[in-house]
Amino acid sequence: MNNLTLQRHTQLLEILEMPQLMDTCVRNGYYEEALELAAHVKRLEKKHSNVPIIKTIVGEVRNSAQLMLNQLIQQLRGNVQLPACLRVIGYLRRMDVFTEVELRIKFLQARDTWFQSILDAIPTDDYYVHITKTIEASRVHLFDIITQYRAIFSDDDPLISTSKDDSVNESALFHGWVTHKISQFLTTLETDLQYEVGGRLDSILGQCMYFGLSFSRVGADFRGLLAPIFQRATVCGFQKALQEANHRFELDMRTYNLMTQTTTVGSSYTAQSGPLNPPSILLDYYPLAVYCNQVLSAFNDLRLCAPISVACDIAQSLQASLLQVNRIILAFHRAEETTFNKGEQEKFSKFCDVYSQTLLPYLNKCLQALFPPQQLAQITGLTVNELTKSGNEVTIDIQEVLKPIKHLLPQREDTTIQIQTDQSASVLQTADQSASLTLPTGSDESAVNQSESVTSTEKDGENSDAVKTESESNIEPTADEGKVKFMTGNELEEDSGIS
Amino acid sequence: MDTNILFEKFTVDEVRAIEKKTRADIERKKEDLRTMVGERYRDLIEAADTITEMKNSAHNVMQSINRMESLCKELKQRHMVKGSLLYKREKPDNSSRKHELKFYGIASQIKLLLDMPEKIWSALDTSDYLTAARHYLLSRHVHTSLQLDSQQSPDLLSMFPVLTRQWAAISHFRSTILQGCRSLLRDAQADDQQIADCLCTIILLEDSTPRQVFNEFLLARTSAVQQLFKSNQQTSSIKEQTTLVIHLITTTIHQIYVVFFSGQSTVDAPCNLLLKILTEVTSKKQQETGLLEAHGTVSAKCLPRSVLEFMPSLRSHAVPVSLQQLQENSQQWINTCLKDVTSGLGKLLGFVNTVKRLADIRDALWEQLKQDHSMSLWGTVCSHVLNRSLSVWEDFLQDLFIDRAKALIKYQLDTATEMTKRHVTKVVMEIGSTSESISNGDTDLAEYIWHESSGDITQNMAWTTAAARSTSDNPGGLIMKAKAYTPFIQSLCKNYDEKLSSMMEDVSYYTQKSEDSVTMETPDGTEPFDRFSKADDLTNHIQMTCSTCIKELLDYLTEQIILWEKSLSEISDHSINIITQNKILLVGRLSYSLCEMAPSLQQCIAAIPPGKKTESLSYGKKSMKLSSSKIPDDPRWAETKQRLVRCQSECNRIWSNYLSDWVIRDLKQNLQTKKESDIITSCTRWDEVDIQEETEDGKKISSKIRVPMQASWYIHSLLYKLCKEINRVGGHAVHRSTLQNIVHKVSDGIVSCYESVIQESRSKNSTAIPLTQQRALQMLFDMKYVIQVIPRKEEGKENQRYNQRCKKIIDMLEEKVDPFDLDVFTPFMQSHLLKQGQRSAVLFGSITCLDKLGLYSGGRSSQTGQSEQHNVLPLTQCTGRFTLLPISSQPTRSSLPAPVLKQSLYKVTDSGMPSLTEKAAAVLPHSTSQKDVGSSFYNKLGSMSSMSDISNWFSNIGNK
Repeated sequence: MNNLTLQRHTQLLEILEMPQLMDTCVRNGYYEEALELAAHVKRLEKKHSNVPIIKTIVGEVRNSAQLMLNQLIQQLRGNVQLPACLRVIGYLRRMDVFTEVELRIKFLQARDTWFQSILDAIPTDDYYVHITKTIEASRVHLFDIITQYRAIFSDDDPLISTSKDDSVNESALFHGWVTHKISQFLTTLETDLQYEVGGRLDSILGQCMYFGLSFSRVGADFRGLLAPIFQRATVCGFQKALQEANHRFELDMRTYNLMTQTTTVGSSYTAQSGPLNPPSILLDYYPLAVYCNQVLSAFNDLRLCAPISVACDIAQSLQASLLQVNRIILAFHRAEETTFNKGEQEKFSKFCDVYSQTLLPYLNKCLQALFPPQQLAQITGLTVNELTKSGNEVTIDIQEVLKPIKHLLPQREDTTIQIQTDQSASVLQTADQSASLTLPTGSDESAVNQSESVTSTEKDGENSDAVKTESESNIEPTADEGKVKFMTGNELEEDSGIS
Repeated sequence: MDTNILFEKFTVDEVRAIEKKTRADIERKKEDLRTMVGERYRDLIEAADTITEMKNSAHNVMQSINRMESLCKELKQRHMVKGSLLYKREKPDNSSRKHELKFYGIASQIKLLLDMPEKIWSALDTSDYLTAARHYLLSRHVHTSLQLDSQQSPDLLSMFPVLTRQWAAISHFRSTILQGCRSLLRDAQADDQQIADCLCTIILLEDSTPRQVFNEFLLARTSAVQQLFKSNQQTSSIKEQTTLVIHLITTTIHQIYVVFFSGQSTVDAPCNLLLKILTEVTSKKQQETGLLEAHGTVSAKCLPRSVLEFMPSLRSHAVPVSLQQLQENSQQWINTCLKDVTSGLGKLLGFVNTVKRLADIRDALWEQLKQDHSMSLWGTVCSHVLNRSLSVWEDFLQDLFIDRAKALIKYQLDTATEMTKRHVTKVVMEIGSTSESISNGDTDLAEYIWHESSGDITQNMAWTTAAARSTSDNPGGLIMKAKAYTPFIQSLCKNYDEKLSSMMEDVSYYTQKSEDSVTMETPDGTEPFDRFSKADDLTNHIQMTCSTCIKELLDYLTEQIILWEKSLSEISDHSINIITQNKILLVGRLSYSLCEMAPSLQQCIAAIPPGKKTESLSYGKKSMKLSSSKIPDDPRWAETKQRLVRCQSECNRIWSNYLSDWVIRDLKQNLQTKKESDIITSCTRWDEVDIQEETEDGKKISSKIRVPMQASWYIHSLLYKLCKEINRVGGHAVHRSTLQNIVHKVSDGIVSCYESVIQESRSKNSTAIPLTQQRALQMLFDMKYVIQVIPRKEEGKENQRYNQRCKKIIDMLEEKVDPFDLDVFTPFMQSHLLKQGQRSAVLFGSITCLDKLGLYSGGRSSQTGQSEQHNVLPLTQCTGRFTLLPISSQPTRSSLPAPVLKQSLYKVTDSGMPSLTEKAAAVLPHSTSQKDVGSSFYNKLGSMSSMSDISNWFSNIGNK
């Protein structure tokens, strides 16, 4: 017996050392060898499972195998490149631990864990930084993961997906995951946008769009889903600014003394007044001026990233804010009316006059500059005229706004309001014509030039009529030519109706 | 003649003369006499003889009279003492000896009486009532005879005053003995001999007939049976009680046979024991029966014969119970017992809580009956006594046991069902309460699936192969995730399964031989009764009850579902409806998973004997997991499964209905707008294409056209919402047909939306906004896009009609577009469409690749290399910056003209309170214009730099 043992010493030792060997292999990453060993031990287990020593060996090897499995999965949870992924998945497949579905789930889970850890590491102190970093991380890493998945698992072959269990749709897993990730991103985006990211909405938009574009190459173009989010964010930001303005206005009105004169700098400013420059007369009425400035800065913020689609919402918000202003003026009047002396009375009616005659039309003008009617017309497929007629143009309805404070306005102003609005309408019309004619002619650049030239000319202080005629004369002939070809009959008729 | 007178009348001479004369006379007379005797001698002898003869005869007469006298006395005595046939004949030879003897006899009788209580007590102690009774009878006999003696010789009582007292001490034994007998009659443990003795005792002591004692016996046994069921037996277990009752009944039947049966017996069992004993007792003398002690003692020698030869006698002759009567009474008794047992044991079994214990009791009975050797004659005994066959198990107990087992099974199943119901209700409440306590598995499956959890990788996972593992008991969390079974569903199914399997195991004790009982097979192969005779009945019962329970559960769920469906249709708040949907989907998942995750359910309903369970468990699971066709489907199981699946599909139907309605409602709102502003809101960026054309006169004209390049936002949102919802409920595990159903519904809804819009625009109704070419183009694009995403290319009338409708809509929309334009636009639109489709193939993958031939080109191919516009959101082209009014700082506050940069970069924490910097700004005099310019410059610079930076940075990516 002893003799035999001695003879077979080496073989016995080999068997006894198997767990150790396996452990070494696993710990050093020799998975190939570990797999072979494991297979061998499995055979041993089948043959001699009644031998206690074999049992212990099997138990130890089993632990090592579990360790190996955990290690492999842990690798997937790290930053691995495609070749490494392929290798790991290859090992996993050879271990025959997971079914195909499970393997897919595990792969995506593990990669997702890694991705999440990256996302979680992004500091959340600054929402702008957070969202930009998130976008970048998502763009790079998600793209990688998707590519890896695509390279490792095949969805195209219908034979694989149909041959097995019908209850689990393998390709749907991937789609589900992508949907899940995109939803997650969109949620993050929306939450971050809720907070103030300042005037840098445009840069976020740009990044998001690039993100979407790059994803379009893997078939997950989600840019269409971004639009509503940004629209909401824009409107929301604008409304916040208006609220601030209203609040400010209310505070100002509380301490406002009608008789205070603040025309100190007005004289120097009047020189450069243009159509898009705020009327200097507002400076005489401090709260109005402040309000105007607030709104203008809101416009400036908006301008950087103003989707055309939010035009109506913006106008509505502005109108709501103006109604608020009305309320404040009314409150002021109610409080001060009894103590008005004649001068103050006069001053107040002037205040109202300026508000109704100057500020509101000016704001309307700004709106139109922000959302050029011709652009809107182009989108809706209607002419500017039609837009105006149907009452859907992007303006404040001045009549509607003034209704609550009508009794405060000087009587004589009624007609002028009418005139004013008429004028503005005509301005609109003409501007619209010029714009609509502009478009078919040249490229984007020229259009931009055009609008720039318009603003520049306006800044020069010439009256708007001149500008209009000029632009009309400039553009008309080309417009005619272009139109003949590409307008439908319908539109031709409409056009003729206008002219 | 008198001498005195002679001396008075005569003188002495005369007297002498007289004397002489007289002497002479005498002499002469003597002479005469002598002569005469001489003459008459013969006559004299003759006379003497006659006298002797006379004397003898007189003596004889005297003797006869004396004897008559004594005989008469004897006769009198004999009539006083019962049973004494002989009177004491011996006459002591001499009176003193006789007297002595008599005295000794009385004394020994008294001694006997004195000893009697002890003897009776000891007999009573050993429950030898017959001996006791005989002693009692003997002592009564002795007492009576002594009593009679005392009448003759009055000195007896004075000599033995103990006599009266002793009788008082003995006389009460009668009731004691009877009591003992009666109690013994009730005792099931008493053997036949004892019972017969008892009965005999009763007959002797009470002078009753065998029939009477028979009835008494039966009554005693009835009350014994009833007594056993009384609550005073609480200490003993139900098992003991049951076995006791059964033992009592069987022994009683036996004893009836042994003790009373007097008919022709076909077996060699003893019978009619009572009469045997009775005759024995009444015919044997005391000494022969060993009642009195051996002759050795002095006192025994002196006992008078009457005592020694005393035999108790019966007033009437003992007649055996007639066969007919015996059978009638026995049957009656059995029926009473049956009633008692049914009610009593029924109650008792009500305390048995497991089928296993029932089986235990049954096996104990079985054992008991098997070991009872008398049971081998049971059949004949029954037929003799009852005139019919009687099986203790089948007639008495089987139904009770089966009923109880059924009740237990039903109870357990009901409990399981009830528990499931309660759990479902609880979870549903938790879902409704929106608290975070519940794991979000059931509200957001996607989150559950894609989040790694510790249960995903089980212990030993690395060792077992995937195929083996998925069939094992613990397949790991991943497969559950793959099948979209949430933890709650898992635990619920597991609980239900456990309940069922424990029930099955419990029942299996009853329906199947356990290993140890197999070894204890009776050698001759006969069994007291068939223990498993009604196993099929039980299995059927399980099947039925299980089906009923499932049905009940499903009814409950369906009820809930109907309620929820109603609330879905009535409540318009989407967030509430999401909760309701979660509930519905939960129920759906549950009902489906019950078929897959509760293998015991299948075993119960398909009546797979649980014995196979051990070896076929894995097999069963495997077959259930992979394909259920391996097990030949039991129709009942198929039906139940179908019912479960139907419930699930009902849930899915409600969900899909709601989902499609919901997305379509949104679409409708967007599409059937009455205002242009909504069109503006939903506008997309259009591609601007330069085209060159040749006019008729050969001039080349380049012009710019705008074509839609993407679907409207609402179409995107609709499709995405759909995908998201599908994903939320674990789209990969939702059955393809359900998804298809949803997709079809949605696409139908979309088509009808478009149809109605077109219809509206065609009618001269002014409220609808005109369908301009732009809008028509966009709608055309949208429609085509939808068709591309949801192709519905499969065969079928529905799909054909859908395609026709789509075509019609497209035609109608194209009508709205200028035909020339259409010609020009179509190729561009087509290419955009294709591009768009490829780009969103993965995003909308959940709904696109439903039918196998759906487009899945993967989006990897046909990338247009050109760098293209990244932004799809049309922005305003306003570039000018609005200048601000130069406002000098008001003395109090001037936060407004603070640098724009500052405003935009940092959150304005509180606008009301002027910050330190603001105050400083207010105090410092500086030119407003400067500030304005500065801020705007700064701002421009910032935005410019950021823009250029980013665009540079992105263009690199774009060109990748």
